[in-house]
Amino acid sequence: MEEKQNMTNEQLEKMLRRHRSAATRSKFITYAFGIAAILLLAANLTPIAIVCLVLTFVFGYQLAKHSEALKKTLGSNVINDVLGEVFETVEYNPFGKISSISSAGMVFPFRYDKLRGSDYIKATYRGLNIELSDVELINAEEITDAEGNVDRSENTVFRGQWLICDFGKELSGEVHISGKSKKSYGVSISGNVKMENERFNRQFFVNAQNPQEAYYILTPHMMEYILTMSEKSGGTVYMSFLRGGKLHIAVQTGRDFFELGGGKVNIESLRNKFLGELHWFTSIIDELQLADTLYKKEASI
Amino acid sequence: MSGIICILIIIILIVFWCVSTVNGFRKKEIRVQEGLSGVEVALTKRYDMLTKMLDTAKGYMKHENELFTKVATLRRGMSVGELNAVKQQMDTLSDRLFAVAEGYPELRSSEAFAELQRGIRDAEEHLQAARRLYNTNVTAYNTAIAMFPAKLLAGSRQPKEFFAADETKREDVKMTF
Repeated sequence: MEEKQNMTNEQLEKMLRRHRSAATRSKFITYAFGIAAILLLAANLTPIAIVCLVLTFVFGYQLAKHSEALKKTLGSNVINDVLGEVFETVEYNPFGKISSISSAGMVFPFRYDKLRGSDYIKATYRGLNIELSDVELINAEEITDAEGNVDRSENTVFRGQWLICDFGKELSGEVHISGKSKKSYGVSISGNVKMENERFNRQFFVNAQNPQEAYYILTPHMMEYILTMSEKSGGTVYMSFLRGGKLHIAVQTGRDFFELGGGKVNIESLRNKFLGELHWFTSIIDELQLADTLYKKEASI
Repeated sequence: MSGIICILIIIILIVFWCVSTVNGFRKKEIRVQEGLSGVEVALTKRYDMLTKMLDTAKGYMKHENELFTKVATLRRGMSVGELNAVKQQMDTLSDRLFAVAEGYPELRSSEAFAELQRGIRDAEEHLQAARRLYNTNVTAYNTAIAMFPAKLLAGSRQPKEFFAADETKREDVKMTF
């Protein structure tokens, strides 16, 4: 992680703008040379196409370098401060992701083969261990035609954030909650538990090895809370309460957290934006810990 | 000929519908029974925790004989009404026990008491979940046997009894000591 530099907000904004402009410029030139290389190859102008291809790689490298510098500057000068404000202890890796070991156990109503991610956070919040990361889940498919030709394709089935945290209670089985999505990705999904809240049933599938445990976790208040938070997220919400006392929450926001975005760079607005992004998850933990005795670790009533 | 085929198809469809409807009733009835046994298990757990709590408290509350004689009785195969009555007896007993325990700081600060308090809270939460699940299953069953035309096949099936709603129930798991 790049060392935090002592800069004023104006200097930092200037630096971020410079990195962003350089990255955008490199991206544009890379695409332009890439397209030119393809067109020149099609026109049988191979030597010029090769030159364009080489330039594509050169500017592609520049793009990666500027994007990395932008992420590091943002991480060390803005994100780390924001994380320090929210969490008690925190480790942040802008290029890290949730490991496949940690992600085991979460149940999605679709298949995926690859997990890509960034902005990995390992922290302690209100005494609970949490992991949070941007995640992209990819389903790789291989189709073999009658002549034996294999066609490989990759399809992003999930893009959003994934939180793993302790919730202090051990269950005898597992409880999975899936938001109903228009896209089924070829997998038929249904729940085996119907809750007494009809609005909740319309928006979520609930699967549990023991239906009573689904009712134990999903108190009337908790169902209303999940509905509210799901509406706020604007994406599909998936939750898994696992036997070992771990809770997984994944939200398909379709975007990454902690991104600079387009438009004017303003450090204070960025900080508020990042705090807001974290707040969605921390408020769920607050709710789990405080609003319902079920989630309290100790009997400090 | 085609008329006979149509009639046969209609008869087969009606038979199929009758079989699936009656099986649906049976499935829902089984779920109600499972829900009820879940309530019994949760109630037994709460009963055990309360009994242990009373045993622990006895050592500290020498002068509270009246409290220890009022123990609710729980047996297998009780009706919903009887289970409700037992639950209410337990509520009263635990309320009384915790109110009396207020006057015994030594008891309140003991490790065993704190452990049992956690256990009772957990049992309460499981009981609450079991009651909600049972009531949801009863709603599904009662609705199924009351709806026309499925109602015609319900025969002697009667609506099941609900567990009495008790909104204040969660309050006694938030005890302050």
